[in-house]
Amino acid sequence: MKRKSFMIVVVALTVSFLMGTPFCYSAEPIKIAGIFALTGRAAHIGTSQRDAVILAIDDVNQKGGINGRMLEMVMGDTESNPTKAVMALKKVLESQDVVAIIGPTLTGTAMAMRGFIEKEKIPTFMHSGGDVILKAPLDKKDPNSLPKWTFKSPYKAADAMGKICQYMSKHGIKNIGFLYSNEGFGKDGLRNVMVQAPKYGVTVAAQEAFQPRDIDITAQLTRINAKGIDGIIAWTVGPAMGIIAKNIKQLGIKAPLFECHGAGDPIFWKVAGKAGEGVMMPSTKIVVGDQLPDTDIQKQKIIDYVKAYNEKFKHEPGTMVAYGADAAFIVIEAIKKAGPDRAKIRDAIENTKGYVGMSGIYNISPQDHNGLSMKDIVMIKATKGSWKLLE
Amino acid sequence: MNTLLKQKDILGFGALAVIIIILPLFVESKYYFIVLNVIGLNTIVVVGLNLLIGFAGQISLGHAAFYGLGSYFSGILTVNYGFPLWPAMVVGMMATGAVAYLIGYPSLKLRGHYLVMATLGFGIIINILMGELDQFTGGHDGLMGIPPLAIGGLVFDNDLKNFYLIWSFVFLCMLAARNLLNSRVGRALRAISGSEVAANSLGINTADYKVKVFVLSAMFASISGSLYAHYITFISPSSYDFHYSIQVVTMVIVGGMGSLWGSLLGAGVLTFISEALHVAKQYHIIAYGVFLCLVLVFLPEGILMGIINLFLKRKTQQNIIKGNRQ
Amino acid sequence: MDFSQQIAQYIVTGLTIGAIYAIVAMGFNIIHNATGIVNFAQCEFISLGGMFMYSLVVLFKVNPIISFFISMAGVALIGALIEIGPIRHARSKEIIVLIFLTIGLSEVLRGIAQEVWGTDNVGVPAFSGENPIHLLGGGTIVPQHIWIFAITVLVMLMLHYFFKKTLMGKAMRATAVNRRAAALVGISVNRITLFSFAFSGALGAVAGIIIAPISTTSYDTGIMLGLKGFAAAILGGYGNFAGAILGGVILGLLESLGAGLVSSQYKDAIAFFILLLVLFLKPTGIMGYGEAERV
Repeated sequence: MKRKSFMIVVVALTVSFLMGTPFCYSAEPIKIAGIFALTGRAAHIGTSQRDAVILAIDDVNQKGGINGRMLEMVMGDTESNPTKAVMALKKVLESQDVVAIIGPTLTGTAMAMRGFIEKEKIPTFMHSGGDVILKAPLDKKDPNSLPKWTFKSPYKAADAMGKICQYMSKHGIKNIGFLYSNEGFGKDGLRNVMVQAPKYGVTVAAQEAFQPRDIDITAQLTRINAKGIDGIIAWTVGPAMGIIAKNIKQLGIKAPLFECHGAGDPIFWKVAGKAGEGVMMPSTKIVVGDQLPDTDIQKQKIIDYVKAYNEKFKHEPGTMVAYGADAAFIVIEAIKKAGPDRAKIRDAIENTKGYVGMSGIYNISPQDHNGLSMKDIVMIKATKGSWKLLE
Repeated sequence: MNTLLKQKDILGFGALAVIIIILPLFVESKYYFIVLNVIGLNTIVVVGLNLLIGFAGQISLGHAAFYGLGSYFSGILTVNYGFPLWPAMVVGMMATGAVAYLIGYPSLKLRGHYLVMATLGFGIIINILMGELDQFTGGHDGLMGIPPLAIGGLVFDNDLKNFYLIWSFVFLCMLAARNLLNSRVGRALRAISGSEVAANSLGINTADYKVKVFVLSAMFASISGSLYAHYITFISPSSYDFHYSIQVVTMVIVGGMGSLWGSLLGAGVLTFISEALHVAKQYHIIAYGVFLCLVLVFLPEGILMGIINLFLKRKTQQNIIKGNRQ
Repeated sequence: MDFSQQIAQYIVTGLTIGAIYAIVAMGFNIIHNATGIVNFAQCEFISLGGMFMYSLVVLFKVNPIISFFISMAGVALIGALIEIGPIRHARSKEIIVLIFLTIGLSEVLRGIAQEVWGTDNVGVPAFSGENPIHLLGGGTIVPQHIWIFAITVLVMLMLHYFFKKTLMGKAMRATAVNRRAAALVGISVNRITLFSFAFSGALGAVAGIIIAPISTTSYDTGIMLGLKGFAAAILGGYGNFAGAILGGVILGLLESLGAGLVSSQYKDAIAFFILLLVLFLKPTGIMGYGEAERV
């Protein structure tokens, strides 16, 4: 009897010892949520940003994860729709152990999610373009109630516009026509150009809108050209980028064309074809990595990332991939520093200083949840199916 | 027959009330609440739309406009002008009704596909205006900071509270619709959908009724839109495009045209399926489309009647589809 | 550019867009005449036409002329499959149910297209280059515009001949007037319906193919074009072929002149508003005859 119970105790102890050893111990993965526009009208942007984030996560996991724990992404689809975005948000928050969120894609979906994110107190790094995400106070009556848990990786659209205007004034372009797509992004551009252009001595002589899905924009271009302009800015992302370039060639307009900071993407060449030659735009450095001077601290990181991206996805990354990558990397760095705790991660993100990312050098602070400035933006020119760094 | 109908109603509404009250005891996740709340909001719109499509035999592919007008009136009045919350909703309902009257009066003289185009047309025009009149609407950036509804000190600012709020409205709207259908008006509507010429010859002023139902359905949508605005606290034109208009009519058909409870079922099933299919990852759009096609091909009388018929092994004929208005 | 040259440009642009709307409108009319429904899958026919052309010409490097006809045939086949499958077997023939069935089918097709080709817009090479051509009286076009006009006119002439002179065409017209009577004289209504869907698919594909070099194409290019083509068909009188051309041209001109002379933000609102006004004044479209009423 005694020997039997002794054996039982030994077996029990051995089993529990084995269960406690690293051999049988599977470390719990750290979960972050990725909410993107995977279907709907912004699908082509959302899917490429999702790919950028997946690449960053795989990279970390291959190097052993964070303190032995793998990173796992819980995915949500906003369907390019604000209501669905909020539903996707609540769905990923179901699992209490999601420590941070990356995304979404469209500014409208971001604005719908923002209030709930702040209430839920979960750090979220967005890669939507709208400046309003960080600028608009949470409570209309209190102008200081800026978001605490929301961050954003793309540089300010205002800075991108400023870069174009600065370039224009340096090259003697005085009167411009502004052509914008008639939705949030385009109209935001209109507001920005009216502020930025006068700063650099440029006059907006004409402004015209078009619908994002228009197949022909010659009417608007004709009207702009009639006002005698020496430069045109077209503020849109999507097929119109190419249609405008083609229409300009058709009408024989000689004024140079500038497009927005989302145009530096392989899709630009697909939609513009030969007409895209010579179009200029502001961009992140990710598309001209090998043209950067060796003294640029971003250069090596960009070249490595682009190589990995090419290998995995078999095509070049566009400028907006930089936003997705940086959002992921900064969040990952914060988790490394602070551990899987939402509040600590938020603090760590807010104190990110001098982070060398794809989009630029991030200096985040409580007043600036973006951390980039105009010097992180470069002007590029569409040349022979690829991009040439201008300045 | 009439007494049977009323008994079924008392049972139905009673069960609905009980479910609404005790369901939150079994649901904990915020996600399920928001899905249920969106189902509720859609149900209100679908019930109103069903009066127009299922009972009066008309069509509207522009109802997103009325849903949106409700949201925007509530939002603009409360955010920009500090209007009190509930009066804003009522004003919104009246204003939307007025817009619906202006549009409906000439439109409902059209027939068939011309009516389809007219409703599509005004839906698009109103959606464009939402984005363009940005001094009032906030334009394409949307309108944010809409305050949650409140009764005295009780503020409806979380998913659970909004569940009770929204579903109380669902209950009331369905009750109102049921009363309308049991009345003289309801009988007139059924007559019109059976044959306008015959109804006219019986002395029913069909043009008048059609416009009134149109306005009523717009007001239902407006109420729902207001509730949505105060719940999500942010609205933008992209939520009110023709995709939404098509979605709600689909819910009417899938639930069963001319079936009040079918409206609830249609809204519930399609909203739920649309979320549940996310397990199919990137194929969820295809899966949803296939589900829709299957229902429309095999259960055109709606899921509710379809299942009942299957149960009772009834053969469905063309007439039954129209005759099963209850 | 002086004012008259600007107007000339707006008119030329408007006619080009109008031609596309006219072809799409004809596709809608054919199915309406055969079945009485609106086929919203027409939108996908347009997108698929463009995408097939892209795959054949750009990815597989097939000769453009051959690709044109293969793409047309491919979409025609899809149209036929839709009819022979879900539409014919739908247990209810109520128009609203069938219309929404076509909407459901178009979502399935769009979802499949997204899977196959992804979400990017892609370009298709122009049929004969992109060098601008200056017109007398102002305005410039590119060679593709000439192709668009030429093909649209060709299609119209072929349709006219088809419906007036061929047996199949006459059978289709008979079916449009009265299905039961047509069946009584021995016309196979099922076959007519099948053919209508295939024909409509081919037309949609043509529209998508000829516009692709100018506006690029993607899995969902056809939604807006389909919607406006439907509007053009209604404007001209639903079911009426001359009406389709008239409606298309008017809608195209309204958009272009609206954008050029009035306001580019409101151009779609203006076009639809005028459409509604026309309908309120003449409830069956410009050239339409009364719809058969349910009594």
